[in-house]
Amino acid sequence: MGIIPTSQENSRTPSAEAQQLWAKILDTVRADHPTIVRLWFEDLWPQDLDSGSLRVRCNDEFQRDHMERQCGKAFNEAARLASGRLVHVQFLGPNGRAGPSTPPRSARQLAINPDNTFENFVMGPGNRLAHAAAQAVAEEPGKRYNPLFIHGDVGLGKTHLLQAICIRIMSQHPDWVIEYVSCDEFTSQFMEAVQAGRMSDFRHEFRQVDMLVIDDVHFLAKRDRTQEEFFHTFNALYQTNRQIVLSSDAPPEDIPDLEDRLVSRFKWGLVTAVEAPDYETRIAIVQTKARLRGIVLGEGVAEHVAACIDSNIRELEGAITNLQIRAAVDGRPVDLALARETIAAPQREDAQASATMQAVLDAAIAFYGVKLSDLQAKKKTRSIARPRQVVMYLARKHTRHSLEEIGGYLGGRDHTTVMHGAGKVAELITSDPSFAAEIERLEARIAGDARG
Amino acid sequence: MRVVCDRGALLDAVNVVSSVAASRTPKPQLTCVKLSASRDGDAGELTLSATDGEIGLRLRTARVDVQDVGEALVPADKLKQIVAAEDHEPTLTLEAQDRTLHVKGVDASYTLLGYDPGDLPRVPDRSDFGAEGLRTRFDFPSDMLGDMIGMTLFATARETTRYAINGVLMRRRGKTLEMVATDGRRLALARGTVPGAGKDDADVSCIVPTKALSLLQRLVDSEDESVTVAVGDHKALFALGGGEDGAPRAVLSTTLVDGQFPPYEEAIPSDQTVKATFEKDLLHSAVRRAALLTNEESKGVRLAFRGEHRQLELSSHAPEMGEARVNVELKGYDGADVEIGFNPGFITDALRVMHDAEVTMELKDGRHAGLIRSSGNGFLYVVMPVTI
Repeated sequence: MGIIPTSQENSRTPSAEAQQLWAKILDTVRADHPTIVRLWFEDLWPQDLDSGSLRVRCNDEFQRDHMERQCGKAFNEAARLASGRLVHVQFLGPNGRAGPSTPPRSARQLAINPDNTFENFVMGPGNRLAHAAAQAVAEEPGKRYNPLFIHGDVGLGKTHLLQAICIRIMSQHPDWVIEYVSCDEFTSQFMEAVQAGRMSDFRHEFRQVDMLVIDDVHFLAKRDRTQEEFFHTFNALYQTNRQIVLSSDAPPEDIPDLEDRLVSRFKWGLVTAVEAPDYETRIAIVQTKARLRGIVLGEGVAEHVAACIDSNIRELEGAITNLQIRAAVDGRPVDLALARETIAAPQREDAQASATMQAVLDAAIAFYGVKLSDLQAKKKTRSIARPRQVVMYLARKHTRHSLEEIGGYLGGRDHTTVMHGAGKVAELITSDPSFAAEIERLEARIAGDARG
Repeated sequence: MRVVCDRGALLDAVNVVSSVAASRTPKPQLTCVKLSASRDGDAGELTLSATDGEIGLRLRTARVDVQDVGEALVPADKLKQIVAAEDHEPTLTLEAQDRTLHVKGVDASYTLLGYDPGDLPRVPDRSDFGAEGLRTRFDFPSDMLGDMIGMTLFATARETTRYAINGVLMRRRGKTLEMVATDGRRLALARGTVPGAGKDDADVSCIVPTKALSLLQRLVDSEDESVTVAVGDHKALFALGGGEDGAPRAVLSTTLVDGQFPPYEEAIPSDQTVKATFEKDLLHSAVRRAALLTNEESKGVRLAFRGEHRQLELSSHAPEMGEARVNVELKGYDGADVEIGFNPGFITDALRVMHDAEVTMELKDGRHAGLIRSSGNGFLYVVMPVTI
């Protein structure tokens, strides 16, 4: 890590000031925003500090775009904390070029996560065929399977495969124009074009691409006019051997209200499914995700997580995030004890997590005499903040909702706030017996509610 | 050339124009001011111009009697000293012969050795506004421009550092004109409306050197008129007064600062959780008093907000000197109690240029930047905290 790739050796060596600042910024980001940290941050290279901007070079455009879109705010904040100045961090591509400041294309294109490469895809019995097909398409676009149609439930790796194809093709054919959009985006652009009377622009845009990748194509259901337009786009690309890649939550024939001619076209190429990962695959996924984030997992942690969460990969990822936050907040290593505290086995969760969010909110509102709107507002006065934290704690303990969802019920607070709030209450319960009694009464109330 | 000048008007003009001329340069012509007398029918006028190679200024005065047209190029600081010293004379007579200029009062006469007037690089004029490369042009009331310069110029870096750019960003988008300055520790933004501009007018953004803006501020301060701004890739022109038909009173031209201004919008915090409202004058006085017990080592003043009591306590502490405590009543407060340290000079700098009686300060915590704004929307100020 930290080795400069040969292509960069000729470039101006960064000033000591820039290097020191960058090292401090990385430390600040690791402490304040542990969940966005990736192992490849080590490979980013501070180029210079000038006119209030620290320029940092990424190894490819995906990294640059990812840093700009997903991490820009965190890095700028860290730069200010680390330097005490109003420093801005600018990310450059491998050629030293900044991203377009107002990207005309990528603004509505979906962001490609640089983590989603074939190398980082964990193969298992449930996705072996889809993975092989995606690789074949990436090697010989337009020739092997056209269209490639990947279907499966949410969070099983469809988007990862789609993006892996994009990343591979863009590295092999940098000049290719790839249109990677969600089905919603296709639809809304189509509607806009119709309303603005600019159909020829729309057609030009989608029919002149080298590859068309559409995520969640099942949203075409019931949209007759969009289906009609998509049909023509499909034909135009197919006839000129341009690769088409589609993902959906169901196989073509099961998408409701999809025209027969589209169903049959979707089946011309290869239709392949991704299925839920088995236990061994889940362990490998947890290990891969942790490695990407630079987390050292203690013995048995991956096995514990894989055993507790068997639904989909997004939840596995959420569990890793929770582990990471908990470890950062408590300053502990990610070991089995921490994993057991943070991620409960499903059986235990079933026994406890039976209450609804409404029951928790109702109980707290009645008990503390506060208004729901207050709990959801930005107010930080103690009389509101404490009940709000109690709700966070109780919802964590008694409902199945994720940190994000609980935050959503409380006026859109983010998961770290919920985690912190719940932690605060847990702390108080151990230190203050009268407060513990208060919580017990509330819990009794919620349990009463749940029984009806 | 032979011109009889009103001494007061001449002094004003020479004062401004001579500050453009370079002080140290291998080309002595750049330390000079050029006098050009012209006559159109009965009306005569004297134009003074100078340039240091980057900034050029051309200033006209009509309070003269032009008897013979002509030109002269003489050292700026000597001319300025002479005109300033003849303070009992209502008028002075300027006579140019070859490369010398005679300045005559009633009881004194000076002969200044100068240069060939053709040796001064051309100083842009009104005619340059039509030149190619000047893509954008708009008119702006000069008093507003002066205000906006005043609200930003103070926040530019005094010396060159890696943390800031030496100039003020001037950016027009549609009807809005923004000026932004930062020295890396604070950032000032002033916003104004361009009268008559349409939404579809081309956007423009450039970085104007501080020297050019402080000159412009001196020029606009004197009269209430319109300024025409023209911006190109590498230079900008400002014409004051005159309008479409009449010749402008002054034309300032400047090369622009190369480089990229840091994305300032992103430096303006958007997730502040604490909001305090003050009477501006109360806060101003309190900060000045608390700053009395700061010194070079401890430049910070601690601001401790007590929301419940609507109180702000400012305190400072200088080793081996003592400490100060000043209390200010808050007009309003929303958010948790917070403590933060600021360089008091940075706060008073901003309060000095704000017009409104009420100001708000928005904070997140003691580590993140503070935001100060006026009750109107024309001024925003971001300031980094200091550790105390």
